[in-house]
Amino acid sequence: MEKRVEERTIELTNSQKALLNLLEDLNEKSNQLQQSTEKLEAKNKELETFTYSVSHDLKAPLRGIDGYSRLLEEMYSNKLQGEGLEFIKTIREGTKQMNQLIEDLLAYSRLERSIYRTSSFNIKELIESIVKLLNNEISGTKAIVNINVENCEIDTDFDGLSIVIRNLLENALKFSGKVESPQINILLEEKVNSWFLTFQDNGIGFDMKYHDRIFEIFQRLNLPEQFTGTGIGLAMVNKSVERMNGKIWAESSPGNGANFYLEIPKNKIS
Amino acid sequence: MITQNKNLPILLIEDNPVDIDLTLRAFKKQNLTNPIEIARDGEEAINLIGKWKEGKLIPVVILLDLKLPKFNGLEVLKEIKTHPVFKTIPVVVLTSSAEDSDVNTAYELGANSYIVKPVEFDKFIEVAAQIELYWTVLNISSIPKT
Repeated sequence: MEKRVEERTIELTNSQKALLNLLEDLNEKSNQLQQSTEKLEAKNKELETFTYSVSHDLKAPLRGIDGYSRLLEEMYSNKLQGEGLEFIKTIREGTKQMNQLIEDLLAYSRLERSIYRTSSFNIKELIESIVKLLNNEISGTKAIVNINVENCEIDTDFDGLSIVIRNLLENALKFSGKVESPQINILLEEKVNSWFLTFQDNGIGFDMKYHDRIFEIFQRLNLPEQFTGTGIGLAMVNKSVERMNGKIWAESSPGNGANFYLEIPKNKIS
Repeated sequence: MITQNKNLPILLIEDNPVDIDLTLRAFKKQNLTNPIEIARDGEEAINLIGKWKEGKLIPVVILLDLKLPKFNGLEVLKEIKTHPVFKTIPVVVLTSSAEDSDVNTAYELGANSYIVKPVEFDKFIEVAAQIELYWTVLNISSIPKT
């Protein structure tokens, strides 16, 4: 009997030791994981600050290029041949595009660095205010924008959703701007656990084989002379939706307009 | 007061030679009568405080870039705005950055205005015209007596 007790005690002590070792291992792994997470966060922060810093530093020489080409045009246009003036125009067009690219990059980096905050607000009012903001672009393309959205409060990131709506609208305006009588419909549907927003346009559409690419940063499907753009707008939409834990996707075919779907989860009141 | 403002210098604190030249040209287009003084870095700007004490003409307005060698623009701003005498000189931050954190810090430190430098030269000229009209003609500053 005594011998069995002794054996059992040894067994227990051994398994206890094994457990302790395991615990130590786990602790070590957890510490390592914590350290890697911290390193990753630091690297992320560094990268975000880098984008911000570089974007600002890029603006100074750009101001020089634009300024002096403008002065050249102003003060020496009589000495330049027709082609010379064309070159200046191209230089200034280039600086304009570069400036837009920097502005968009800054907006993207600002979005990455911004604090995610949810609040309750009226979505119809938000959509209407954004449509009003884009009034010039809308009347410029003679587009008709139908807002089929009920007055209702939703709970999500206000700034993030504003970015999404604005960019989806601008996207729809851009790609339907050249068709005859462009039309954009915005619809809202309430589901049990989410809000479902649809943006329909009758624009040029796109081939579904690119449906994933359109949300990637710098990705464009058209030549710059057909449609201007930096390929950052829909990437910002994607980033914002990701932060809201939502979903975004699009359906289209060339020449048949595009539908963009946005699903925003309802925030559970805890 | 208005005639007095016209003779006082405008102080431009800016390190980039291109930006200095373009700012001077933009002001020239407006037939600006105020002389323009330039400080190329934060240290040079802060050293001016001592010279003002010795009787050097005090600027009617300071145009301050934020990214500067040695001491940055926010440090210069703090030096001026915590000075018992010279804190009343209007400081207009003129920078590429439109970041909330820069804007907020600048105002917290006592900036009187915050303007983002446009990249397009035509817009830059408009900005220069408005700065000149507002700070040297319309605005009445409390110029410190030394």
